[in-house]
Amino acid sequence: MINAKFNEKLGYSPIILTGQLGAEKNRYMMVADSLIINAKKDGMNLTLFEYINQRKFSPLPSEAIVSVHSGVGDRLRADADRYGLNPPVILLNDPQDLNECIHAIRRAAKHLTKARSKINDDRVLPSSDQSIISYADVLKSESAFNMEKLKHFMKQQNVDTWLLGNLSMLTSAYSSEKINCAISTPLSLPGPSQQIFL
Amino acid sequence: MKIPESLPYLPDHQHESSAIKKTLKRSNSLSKIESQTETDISFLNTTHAFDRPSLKSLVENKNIIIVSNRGLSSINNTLSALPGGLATAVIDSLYSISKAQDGNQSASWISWDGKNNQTQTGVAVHYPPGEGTNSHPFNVHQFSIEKDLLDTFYRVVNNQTLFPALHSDPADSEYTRSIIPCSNADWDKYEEVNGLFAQYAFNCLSPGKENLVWFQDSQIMMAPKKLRTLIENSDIQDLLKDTKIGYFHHMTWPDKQSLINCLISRDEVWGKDLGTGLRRAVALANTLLQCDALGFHIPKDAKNFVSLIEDEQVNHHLKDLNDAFSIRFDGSNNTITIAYNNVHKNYHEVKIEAHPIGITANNDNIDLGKTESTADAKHEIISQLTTRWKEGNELGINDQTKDVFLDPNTLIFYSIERHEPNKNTNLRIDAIEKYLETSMPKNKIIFMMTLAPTKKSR
Repeated sequence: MINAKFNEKLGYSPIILTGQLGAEKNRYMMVADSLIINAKKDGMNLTLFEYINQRKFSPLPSEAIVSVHSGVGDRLRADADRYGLNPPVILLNDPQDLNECIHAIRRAAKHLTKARSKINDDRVLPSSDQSIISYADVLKSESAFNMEKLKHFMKQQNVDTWLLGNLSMLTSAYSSEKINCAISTPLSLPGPSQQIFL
Repeated sequence: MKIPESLPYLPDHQHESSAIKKTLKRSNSLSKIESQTETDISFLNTTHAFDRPSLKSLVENKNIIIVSNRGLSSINNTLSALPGGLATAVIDSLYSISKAQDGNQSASWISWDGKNNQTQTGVAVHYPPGEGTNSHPFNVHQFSIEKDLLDTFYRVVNNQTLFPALHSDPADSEYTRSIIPCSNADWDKYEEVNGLFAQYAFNCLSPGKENLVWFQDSQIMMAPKKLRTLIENSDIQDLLKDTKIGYFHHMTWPDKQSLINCLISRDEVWGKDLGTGLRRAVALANTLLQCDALGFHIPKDAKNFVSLIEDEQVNHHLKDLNDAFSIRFDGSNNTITIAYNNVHKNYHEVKIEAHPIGITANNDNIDLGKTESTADAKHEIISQLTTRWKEGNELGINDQTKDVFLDPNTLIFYSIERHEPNKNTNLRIDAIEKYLETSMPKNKIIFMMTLAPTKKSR
């Protein structure tokens, strides 16, 4: 429908459907300048991690649009507060707001277009160490830095840290056999933490 | 010309640790959590390096059993997991555990056999495949579920009721209306299948050894209670006392009222029963309270679960089952602990923490970018899609579109489309359409979409 509508205006079909999900998705992610995750709600959504993994060797900039109502969006928001992740991430605060989604696509396209324009720019800039650098090199360093932010995010949050965190919690869990006693109501708990009785 | 070497660096772990420790100092009680914003409770995330023990010390001399609904698609020939991040994460976890245990095969994976109708127990699987020095074996147990029972357990209850209920949002009435409530009889079958998972986990326990049983995700949420009951009723209860039960919730945990509303049974819709939503929410809360440790991806989900326990109605029914309980927050360990006397009047504690999952870092098997240029990858994609969509197919790609796709200046946007209400596909397509209507971008843009199978179609 959209292709039929815009084919004449644009001179090409703006949507390509690749078919069912399979191993080829890695290649699709590798060539994609931007990824869109606008879930209303999602446990974690690992697509962004797979995208980072596929884009990490690309010299071109990447821009991810991510809903904060997915687990990964929630974590990105926390990291954005700490490190600043904009760009390469545009967070959707309300993925059900059509205008916000349109605006996010527009912003991503604008960032990416601006960055692309530097690739063919022959102008040069003086650098702090007296040497000169080209606009194209600036682009590469900016993209590399932005990709470093994403890679850092991915490195912090992987299967090993998840496994270790959960097993630490489970192995340090209280063993009921160690203190096997009846406790009167309301319950009195050891430790300095504040308690709330229900 | 050279690229500047002095790129700004991200904060290292020490800076991060001190920032987090400061945050923790400020927040030492659950009452404070309540009054904080969502962003502020991010300190509950405990994946910080500063106080983490080694995996070896955690798994040494322990019998570790991971239980999930889905497992390996084939345990004889290949190690490819069924689609999904969970199965992949379990394989990677078992590999790490097995490696840390020096390959002494004390780690097991229990799952449904994925329609293979091939119950197999204790098959040693090497990962990565082969028996080289980098390959470490773990045991795989898969069991069959009778077809009708499986259909009710998986399609009717999990996919049509539980999954949408766990993704529900009180503000989204359209979503709520899309849920197909399952009947009381269907729910009983869901519990019955959960009993099978618990029974297989029970069979894998090592008497006299420290057992760690770790259940994965909502399909088997009722299994922890069933396993606890099996242990308590066992003749060798004393030999199994060193068994700890964990559960990780891979989905979101919704607002309590939304969950109660969305779990309502079909019998109640027809006026044949009352209070089924509350009863089911209480059952879910009760089974998870039998665990020793509960994991969620993000603090917000953990907090929503605790809110359910605190809910007056739910709380009232839990007291009938478990006596009084209390909740405390320990800022030094970023842990919420729920403590209560169980039905046997024994003290029990459940630890709750947020541990977000990711993917295994540096998985070289899928790093295409190392060996393939973007231009080559684009040509390969066009070649594959041309073969896939034969001439005349409405999804076929015309020559102009091929040229635009291959042009290095074209911007490619990518999304994975799964027609499930929580994925918000319709709005994304509307946004693309409106964007194309209202914008004239300098560079040409192509939106590439991949279709993923829906829960209902599996």
